[in-house]
Formats: sequence, C-alpha cells, structure tokens
Amino acid sequence: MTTLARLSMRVTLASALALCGSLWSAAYAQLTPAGSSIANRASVNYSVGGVAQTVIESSPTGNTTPGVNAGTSTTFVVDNIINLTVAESSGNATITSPGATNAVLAYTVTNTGNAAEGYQLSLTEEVSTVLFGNTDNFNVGLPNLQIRVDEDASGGNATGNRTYDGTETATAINRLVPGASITVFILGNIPLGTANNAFANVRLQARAATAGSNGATLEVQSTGANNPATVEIVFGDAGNDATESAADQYAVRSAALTVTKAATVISDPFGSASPRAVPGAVVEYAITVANSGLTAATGVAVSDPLPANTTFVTGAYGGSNSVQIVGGAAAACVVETPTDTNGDGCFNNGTSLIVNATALGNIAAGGNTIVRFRVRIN
Amino acid sequence: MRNRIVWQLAAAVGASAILAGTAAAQSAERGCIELKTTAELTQSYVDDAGKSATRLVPINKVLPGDQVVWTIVASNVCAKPAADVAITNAVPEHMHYIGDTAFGPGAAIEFSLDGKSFAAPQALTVSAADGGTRTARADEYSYIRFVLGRAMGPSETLMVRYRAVVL
Repeated sequence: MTTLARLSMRVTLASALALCGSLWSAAYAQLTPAGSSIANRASVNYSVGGVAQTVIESSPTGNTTPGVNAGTSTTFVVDNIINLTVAESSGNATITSPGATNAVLAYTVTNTGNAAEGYQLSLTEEVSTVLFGNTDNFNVGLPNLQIRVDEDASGGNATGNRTYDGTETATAINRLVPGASITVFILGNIPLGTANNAFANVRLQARAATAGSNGATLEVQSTGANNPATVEIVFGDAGNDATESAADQYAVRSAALTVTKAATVISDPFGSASPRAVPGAVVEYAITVANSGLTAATGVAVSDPLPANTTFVTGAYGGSNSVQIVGGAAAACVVETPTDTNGDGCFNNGTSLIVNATALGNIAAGGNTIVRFRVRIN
Repeated sequence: MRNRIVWQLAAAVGASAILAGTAAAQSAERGCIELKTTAELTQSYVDDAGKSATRLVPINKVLPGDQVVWTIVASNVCAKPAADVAITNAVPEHMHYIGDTAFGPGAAIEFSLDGKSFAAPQALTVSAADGGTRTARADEYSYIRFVLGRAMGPSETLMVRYRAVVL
C-alpha cells in the first residue's frame, strides 16, 4: 500500500474511533494477534413455491451449492502493527552525588503492537533540555553510561522485579509480548567534581527488532502489494519509524562544607573573671563544620595543627576525653598519640589533632558538627 | 458450469414440465440463490472536484482498529421467485459490529446475541451490572440477519452490507 493509501486508512480509523471510543478503548487492551485469520461465511435461507430450501452458504466468488459446509469462508489475515511506548518510570529525577557509581535511571518500554517484538536500545545525552523543572547543564559522558534490561525469566512476559539488582546483563530487549512492559535501566558513574545542582538529562531510545534477535535484526515495513494470506509489517507508532524514546534525569547533589574556628580563653592562672590569654591560661578552640549543600557529607575528617607554644589539655571533657563533639557520632573522644589505638576516631599524629568520620559521623544537608578541644598557653 | 448452461436453456424454453424436472434433478447440487461474501476497506481520497470522499478498495493490510466492510450479495439464479429470503451472518471472530452500519434495501435488519433469537436493536437486552437489564450495545451483537420482506424475482440481486472493526 502506498503511503497515501495508508494515511487515508488512518483517517478512516480515526473517524471510527470517534464513533465508538468506548468500544475501542475496551478492545485496545487485547489487540487481535498478528497472523490471526478473520473468516466470514454468510448463509441464506429461502423458500421456493412455498417449500423451504436447503440453506446455502457464501463463498468469496459466489456459491450455489446447498448445504452446511458447502460454502467457503472469505478470509484475510490480520497484519503486524508495530507500536511501542517508552516512558520514564519514576516521575522524578534520580538524586545522586559526585563520584556515585551505577546511579540508576529507569524507563518502561511497552509493546503496544499485536505481535511479540524485540527492541534495540540506545541512549543519548541531551543538551539544555528541561525536565522535572530542571535545565540540563552537564553531561555524564557516554563512557560512564550503560544500558541494562530488567531480568525476564519468562522470556517475553516481563516478569522481572523492575528493580536494578546488579545482576542484569542484557543491553537489548530480546522479546516482549504484546501488552507487556519491561523496565530498562541506565547506570551512570557520576564524575567526581560534578557541581552541586548539576542536571543531566539522558534519553533512552527503543527501536523495534525481530523477537529473539537480541535487538539486532531491525524490523522493516512491508512494501509492495498486499497478500491477504501473508502477515505484513506496518509501523503504527508516532512518526511511523518503530522508534520511541523518553528522557530521565540525574540531579547531582553535592555537599558544601565550610569550616570555622573560634578560640575562647577559659581560665588564666589568676582566676580572673575575664580570663586573659597569658602564659598558663587555658584556651578552648571550637571548630564548626557546616554543610550548606543538598546532601549529607560522609567521610568527613577534621585535621587541626596544634598551635605552637601551647600544650594540649587531656581529659578536659570528663574522664580521659580530650575532645568534645556536638552533633557528631560520639559526644566525646580520647586523643591518643600518635595513632587512634582505641578506634574512637580521635588522635594526635604528633603535629595535628585528627577527628575523623568515626567520631564525626555524617554531616546532614543544612546541618553542622562542632569539635572542641583545649590547650594551655606555655 | 455445464449444469448452469443446461438450466439456462431449460429456462429459455419455458416448458414448465421440463423446468420442474430440471430443478428437481439439480436441487441436490445447485440451489436457487448464489451467495457471495466480500471483504473491503474504506479509503478516503480527493475526487476530481477536489472534495474528499470515500471509496471501497480490496482488502489491503489490515490492522487492529481498521474497519472492514462486509458485503453479501444474493442472486436468484432460478427462474422462480425465491420467497422468505433471510441472510444470516455471524460477526467474525476478532471483530465487533459497528452500530448503525448495517444496510439492506427492502430488508428488515435484526441482530442476535446468541444466534437463536433475533430482534431489532432496541429489543435486545443483556443483564446489567446492577442486576437489571439494559439495551445491548452494537459491539455485543454476534449475529446479523437481513430478512427480505418480499420475494426475489428471477435474476434479481440483493446486496446487504455492514461494517465491523478489527479488535
């Protein structure tokens, strides 16, 4: 059929849909499978001279032989309409962070045609497109992106769990039966150093291929004259190219840390109400680590060179605790030299006080942690 | 074909005794009505005057959602009138009848849900979800019957037609 003719038939179809919308939507869920034979045989009863005659069945060319099964059905086969949808699965961006590995984007590919199909999958990185209200402003880099198809033990019915398990290996959809939807994942390794509030829109494209070919044998529309007995292929998707796509988004959220340090003279040798920083006076330092980013900071360690001409005060915060932590994983810790022999996250390496993540814990987005210690002025 | 020639010759002779004898002899293998079923598609096109129009074309690629026009032609191939003519057609599997598309000049058009009892559309009812009954929808019809209210004369041809959509 010519393109024009095909187009005209679509017009007819559209008007049919307008006439019987409810019928169509009810029927759409179960399209007649490609290759189904539609057969029709009418029959006529009549009488001649007042005597009822034997029934006569129809044939494609005209039948006069009476009797049940003496006619021949007028038949044709239903052709293969290739149609598919690709949709972003979650309805929102995937929040990730710099250096993240296998950050997952998820898409749903649905076979809306009437025959089992396979699909070749490919991805592209978009530039400056807007998705979920965010404008794309960086590329993850194609070498950092991989496609994986949800495992489908049923081989076509898409019985996977729709979750990336780390065990998926397929990079094409081998087979999907009509009406079935399978999940496709894109795994991204987000480069270290990616800025806070960086957005990367990634588009997954699916192209219909012969079922069982692992996406390798692309489907081709049938051309030439129709054969009523042969299943022909027609592309029914938008654009009539057996190709559909959808975009999903990585939203990179980085921690943004600021460190401030304050010193307070706690006491002097004279017991002054307003202690002065004189030899023998005790000074308390407070180091505040604040996270103004959009995600928690993990693995944070504070390192502070001990000031010259001072002596570190041990046991200043009860028992052997020489460091106080506010908003950390521990409230206080013991400072050993030169290694952290008790494993509490605090030690003096000989030149600096180190307070690592064991003691600090994660610093939440918008949160802060304060480390306090004391020295005596020599 | 040979029988047909003989039959036509007999009819031409017009001797009622010969005709009756011939008809009786042939009744086992040849009835008085030739019945033909054709499937076609509708195609929109722009006519010579630049107006859009539709026409029927032979079956081409058929896809779910396409409408097929079924045409059944009955021809009286006997020299006697055929009375009580009723053409019955089951809506084919994988198809639904499209309401108000059945067409048969001079024929009463009836529908059936079970192939046994036929009635006009408004008289066909099915059980409703609320326990009562409702008028059946066109897509629920499984049979169509065209009942001609008069006899078909010799050589007369009756054409009936309806549309169905491929599910």
